[in-house]
Amino acid sequence: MGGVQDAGNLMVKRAIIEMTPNPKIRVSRPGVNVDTAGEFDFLLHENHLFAQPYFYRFVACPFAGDTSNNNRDSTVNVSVPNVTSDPIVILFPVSSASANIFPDIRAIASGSVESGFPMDNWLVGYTVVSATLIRIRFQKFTGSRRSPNGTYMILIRRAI
Amino acid sequence: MTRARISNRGIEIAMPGYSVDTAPPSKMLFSPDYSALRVALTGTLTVADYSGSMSDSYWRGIVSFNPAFQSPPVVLVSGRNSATESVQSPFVFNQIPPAGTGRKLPFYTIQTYRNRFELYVLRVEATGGVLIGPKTRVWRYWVLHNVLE
Repeated sequence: MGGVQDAGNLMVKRAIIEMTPNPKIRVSRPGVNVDTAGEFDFLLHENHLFAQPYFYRFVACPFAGDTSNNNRDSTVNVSVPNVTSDPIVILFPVSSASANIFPDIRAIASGSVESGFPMDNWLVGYTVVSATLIRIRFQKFTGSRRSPNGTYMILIRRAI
Repeated sequence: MTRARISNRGIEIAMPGYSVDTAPPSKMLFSPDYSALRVALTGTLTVADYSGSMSDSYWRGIVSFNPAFQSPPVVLVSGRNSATESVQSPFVFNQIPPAGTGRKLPFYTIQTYRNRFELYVLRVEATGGVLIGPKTRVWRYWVLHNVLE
């Protein structure tokens, strides 16, 4: 029966590629006719802005591997292509080689304000300085046992 | 004016009113110069009671990847209160007493590994006076290919 169903889907017109007079580049969901598809039935449409990151890179934490109790606070300037001064920024912190954490780590520990709390207590944040410069700030607070390895930084253009 | 073109360069689509030959990157709807975020998996999961670290503060849900990724992927989530309302605001609640047990409590946290991700969601009611968790246990997720693999 699956084969019959698949064969049926193959009969549905799902794509339009026309360059003139007005470009149409459209692909509809499987089983949906592209000529009659509704707004939410397109996998591809020439008027949609697609989530194409124009920057996707790992940014290393300058104090990665620091397991001391010390407070650490470092910034990293990252040069990016001049696309927009108002990007959508997604930081996806990398806790270790085997794990990413988003948006922030959960932690619990016994301690006191005087001696600190020996928990995994770090933060990663960003500032958009300009269209070509993003500043990443890594912080490890007093008493934290671990530091992050770094973060993925993903920049996406906003739909206008 | 050429608004769209398919050539050996790939697919180029400019915003209406712009030409692919002259449009700056901010005016391109699709450009062959950038990678597209690829959704590897999507669906919903339900968080529930579990045994383990911080189970008094969190519910947990796990989604396994088979096959595993080469490196931990990027995962985004959105709480689903109802068919018409979602919860997406992340915040962190730091509970630091003068002495005793300190807690760092994100509203939700995603831990991703090569073979799974774990979603932890702050409970509505928990020990330690935490009464500010979200209402929903049902979360929608998107697993994105790590384009740096």
